[in-house]
Amino acid sequence: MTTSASVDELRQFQIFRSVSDSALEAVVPVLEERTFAPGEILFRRDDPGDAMYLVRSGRAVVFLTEPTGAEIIFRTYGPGQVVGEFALLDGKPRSASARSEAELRTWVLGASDFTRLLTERPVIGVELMRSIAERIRYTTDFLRKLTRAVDLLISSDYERALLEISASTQDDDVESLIAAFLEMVSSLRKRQTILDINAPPRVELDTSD
Amino acid sequence: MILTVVVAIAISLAVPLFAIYIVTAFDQFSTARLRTLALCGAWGLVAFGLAYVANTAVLELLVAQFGMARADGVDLIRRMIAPLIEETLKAAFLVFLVQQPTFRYAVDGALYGFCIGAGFAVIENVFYISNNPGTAVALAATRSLSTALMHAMATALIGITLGRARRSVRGRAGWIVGGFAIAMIAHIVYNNIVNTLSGTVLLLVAIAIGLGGVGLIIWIMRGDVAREKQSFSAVLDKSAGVAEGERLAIQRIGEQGLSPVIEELSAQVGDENLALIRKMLITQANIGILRNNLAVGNVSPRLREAWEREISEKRQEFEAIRAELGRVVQSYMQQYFPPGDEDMANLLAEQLAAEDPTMINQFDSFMRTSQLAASMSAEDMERLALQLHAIDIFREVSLADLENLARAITSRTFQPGEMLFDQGDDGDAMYLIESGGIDIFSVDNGAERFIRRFEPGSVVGDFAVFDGQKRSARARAAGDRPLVALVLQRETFRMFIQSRPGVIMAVLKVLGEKARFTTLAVSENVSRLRHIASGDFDAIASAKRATADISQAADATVDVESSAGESGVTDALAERLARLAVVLKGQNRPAHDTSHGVQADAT
Repeated sequence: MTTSASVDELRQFQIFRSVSDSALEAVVPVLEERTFAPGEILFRRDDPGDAMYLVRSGRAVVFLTEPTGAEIIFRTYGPGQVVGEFALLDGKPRSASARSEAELRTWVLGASDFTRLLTERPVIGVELMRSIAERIRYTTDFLRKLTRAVDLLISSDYERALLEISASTQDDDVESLIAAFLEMVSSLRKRQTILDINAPPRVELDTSD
Repeated sequence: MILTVVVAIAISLAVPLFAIYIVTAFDQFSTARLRTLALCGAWGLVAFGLAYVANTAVLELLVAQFGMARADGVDLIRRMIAPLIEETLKAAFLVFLVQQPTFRYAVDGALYGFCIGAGFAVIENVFYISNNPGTAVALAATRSLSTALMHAMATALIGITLGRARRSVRGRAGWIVGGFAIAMIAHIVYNNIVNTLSGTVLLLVAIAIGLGGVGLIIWIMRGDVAREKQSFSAVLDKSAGVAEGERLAIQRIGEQGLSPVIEELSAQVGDENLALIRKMLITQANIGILRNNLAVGNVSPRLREAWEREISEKRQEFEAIRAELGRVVQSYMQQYFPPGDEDMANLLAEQLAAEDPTMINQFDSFMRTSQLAASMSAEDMERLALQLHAIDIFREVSLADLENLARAITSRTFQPGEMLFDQGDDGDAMYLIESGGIDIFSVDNGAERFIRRFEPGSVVGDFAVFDGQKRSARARAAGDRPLVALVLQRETFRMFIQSRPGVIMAVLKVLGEKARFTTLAVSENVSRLRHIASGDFDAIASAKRATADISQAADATVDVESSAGESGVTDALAERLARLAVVLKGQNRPAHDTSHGVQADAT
């Protein structure tokens, strides 16, 4: 390991964004530098979740292979993103496979180092808990918003649907949703689709009880 | 013949080793490391080889270049030059050692130097013995007690002065030059004396010098050890004697906090030891806190057992750290931070918690003074723990930990309509409904819009204990009966988990699962949106989700202030997108079919 990460570099990763400098200093020495050639496999589905990968440069794709051999690409990860952190947290096997696309440079945090880090510096765990909770809440809130926006689309209200979806976010997940939503709306507009006025009415909540 | 040589070599080894053993006994703090001592002995052997080569080279130079008679050259070298060359070579390794972070003070230097000198002398004696096998034993006995000890003493003197130089701010060069000068002069004087005298007088004088040298080194070391002890005492109290030290230490920590003490300690014991001392103090404080816990009567057997187990684990940890620290801290720490002293442990815990709250069982010491915890019966704890365990985010946390946490749970009653929290408030607590209900409203321009009701057994605002985010809606006690809710404050929860990595990991496990789920939901929905964008409606319209439990899904779209919402939200979105796809797919499909299905399921 010729080089080591810097606190500033780690701060670029969402999971470490709110972790204090002094706690990050404890993370630096346990990170291992690893580079993957294009096409190299990081992990396969059902492998034990023994490490997470912090992408420094290049790209990784997370995918599943269907029984027919077809590949479904779930997501592409780029610099500043983390691949495979959930298996480390919940101890479950990998739910998908990951492969490098362009030459991929990563910092690897192993499961045992991660556990030791949390034991010796519980503050990292506390801050990780907060950042994950915030992310779940943020993403869930956004999915909720998206549901309302789709409702509005169903009733042909493009303007209010677009208003529901805020355009800027720091969250990678939400950003990909916004991009896909805007892409869909512009495609629908291009087709000049006139949504059926006979579309079913919005399901109103039963608020009587 | 061979036997006498073997005996002679044994003597040559045994005497210096015994001397080293004696000298190290005066290293009360055991700061010199065994491995380094052995390396020093080895360096002595190397230095002898180098010195032999150098002395021979100088002799050749004197004879060839300056035309000196060989015998005169040998005499000059023996009396004047060899001491300079040998002391320089022996001390070279000391110069390296003294710059290492593990080197502490003059006593280390004395011991390292002594070992180098002894190593040098051992091989020199073996050399003499092999050249004079006839008088091997006598030679070994006398040389071991005289020359060997002189060599050890001379290098030890350099070690001492280098050690002093390391600690001194000014006059560093003075110590270094002075040390080398004294060692060289002593060596020269010794060599001249033994080359001048002869017979019994020589024997007695040489041995006297050897033993005297050892005495001198021990005497200097004792002085340095005593000074070190004094400065340790001064760390805690400038004027206190040892007996008073403990009491005054407590007083001083109480008045000034731990940081000045720790800071001064760092100068004395070095940063690596300091980190260990800190760890040890934390462990000691936590043992004290847990012991206090056990003094509480009304505790469930499971929790009591967990505490006892934790205490014994912490004790082992404590012993392990102490063993690692070596005697320096064993003697020092026991004097000032005696294990088992509860006042001290409490005070340490307080101070350490103020500086680094994440390692101290602050929650437990807080609970000790809590009226609520004192009034809670073991049965209450067990019952509350089971209720907490039923909450999703706590499902992986052990019951013993939850019983501990239960001690901080309060039960609160709200009158119908009373507000628990308002939209925009900081999320400072979570609520578990025991009886009654909680209504959630969104507030827009002062107008309340009812969103949903939570029933007994539900949790409201649980994510607030993790992230403290602002409330996204208003909560009121529902219906016409009072609401009874169990309340867990965010601050209390933080205090509880921050010294318990096991609990953090258990919670992270559930959060990880949830995050994995939402991430997957994002990927799925991104792909659905893209499908629709590219006009591929079939895949979406026919998705199973379109006919999923829509009533639940619809409900979940407004399931704010509850972590149970994610799966409902994704189902709802999937259902909406399916419906959108159906609508887009065209008019050939009667619209009321879908409408009918939705309506039916929604009721």
